[in-house]
Amino acid sequence: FVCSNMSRVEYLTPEGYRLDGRKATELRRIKSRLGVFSRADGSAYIEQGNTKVIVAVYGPREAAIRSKSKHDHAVINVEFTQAPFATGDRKKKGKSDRRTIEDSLLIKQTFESVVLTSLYPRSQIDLYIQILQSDGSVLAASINAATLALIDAGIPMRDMLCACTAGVLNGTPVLDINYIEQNAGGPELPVAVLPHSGGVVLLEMNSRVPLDLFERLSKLACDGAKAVYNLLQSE
Amino acid sequence: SVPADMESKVDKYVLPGDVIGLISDLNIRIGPGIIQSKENITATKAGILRYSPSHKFYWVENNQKRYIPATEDMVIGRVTDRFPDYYKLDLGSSAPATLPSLAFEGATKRNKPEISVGSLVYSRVLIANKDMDPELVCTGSTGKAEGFGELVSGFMFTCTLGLARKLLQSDCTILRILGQQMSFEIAVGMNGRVWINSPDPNNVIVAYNCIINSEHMDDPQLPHMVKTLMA
Repeated sequence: FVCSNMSRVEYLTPEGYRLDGRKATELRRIKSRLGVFSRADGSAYIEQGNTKVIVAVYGPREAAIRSKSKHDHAVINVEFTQAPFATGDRKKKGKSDRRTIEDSLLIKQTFESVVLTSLYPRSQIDLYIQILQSDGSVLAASINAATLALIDAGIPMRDMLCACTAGVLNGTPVLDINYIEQNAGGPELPVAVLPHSGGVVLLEMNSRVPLDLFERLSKLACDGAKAVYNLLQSE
Repeated sequence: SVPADMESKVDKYVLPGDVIGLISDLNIRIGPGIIQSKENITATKAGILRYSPSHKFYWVENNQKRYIPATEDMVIGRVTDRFPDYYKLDLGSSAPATLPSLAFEGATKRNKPEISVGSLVYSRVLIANKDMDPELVCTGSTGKAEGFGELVSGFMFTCTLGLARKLLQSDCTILRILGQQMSFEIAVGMNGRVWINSPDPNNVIVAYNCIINSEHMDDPQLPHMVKTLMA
């Protein structure tokens, strides 16, 4: 059985350059803006390469549904949506899409561990995340944007949560994968860490990798997240 | 005396998670925006770290729009509901506040104030903690009115908490300049609400624009801005 790779895309050239000219462990350029919505308590816009995410935060405000409020801490609600024009093909993703609900829950649990919710019992903090342009690493960019929006709203947090995605291209671990690299079929590992303590708050993976590769990948992703923190801090 | 490593961070911008000092420095009193986490003292909000030498007190000065009720704050609330013994006011915080009907100067059971739903009231926060709805009074600590009470006519607008604090300072430049140009009365709530009243409605509009613009301007730029808007 002969396998011929006639039209194999070179995701990582022998010299170490990826399709967009980056090196394996190079992050994309990050641009961010705080306070983009005048009505929201806090808002932020982040661009990681071509991935563009906007987040609005409302709260702490009175719980809309009394039964959903907790007596000793605030409830964080996350609405994670993707605009229909975000990808190459126009597709309208419903709010009750299973993947959307999963991602919303993931982000909610991530921030519940960082935001000091015990200061605001019986109230809710709403996070509205929308992806305006999707070019890979969408979950990581959303978490970074949400952190900035929470800072803009003055909601106290234990640490600045920063996230980054790691992947594997041609057998080499790489950082901050974009859409084409995401569809290459390799594993994708978004990781969110607390930069000061190094603790990992979120780690998600949907494929199978051997253990030593996983160790390298997760370490790379954590270092990447810390680098994101340094970039955001200097801005 | 200020511990050496913390001294370097005072008046500098901090982000959540930034370690400001160590618990072992026992002379530290920590205030809003700072928590103790294991043996470190870390900032939880993004802002400028301030230190008050007279009180030996650290806090993070940040600017946000959402008001969190605190005792002794003077706030402007809008009446949302009326009950026999109290009013429910909206302060812009996560919970509505209660204002007892007898919490006014000279109020007795027979002689209670008549405030209708939707009107504005300038009051003082008496009780505020995270577990309870805040409670207000319309008197000073002596029991006299001292300017608290219903705000009749005029115009109310919202602003950031930082701008409200700036307006409440005794040396607020923009209010001094405006006072030289026109006659008006103003009430500033620590919950980011400002009420202006003037005999001429144009003055109210000009004053509103001046105050909103002055937030991100330096003092020397203010006279020119006011002159441009008054013309």
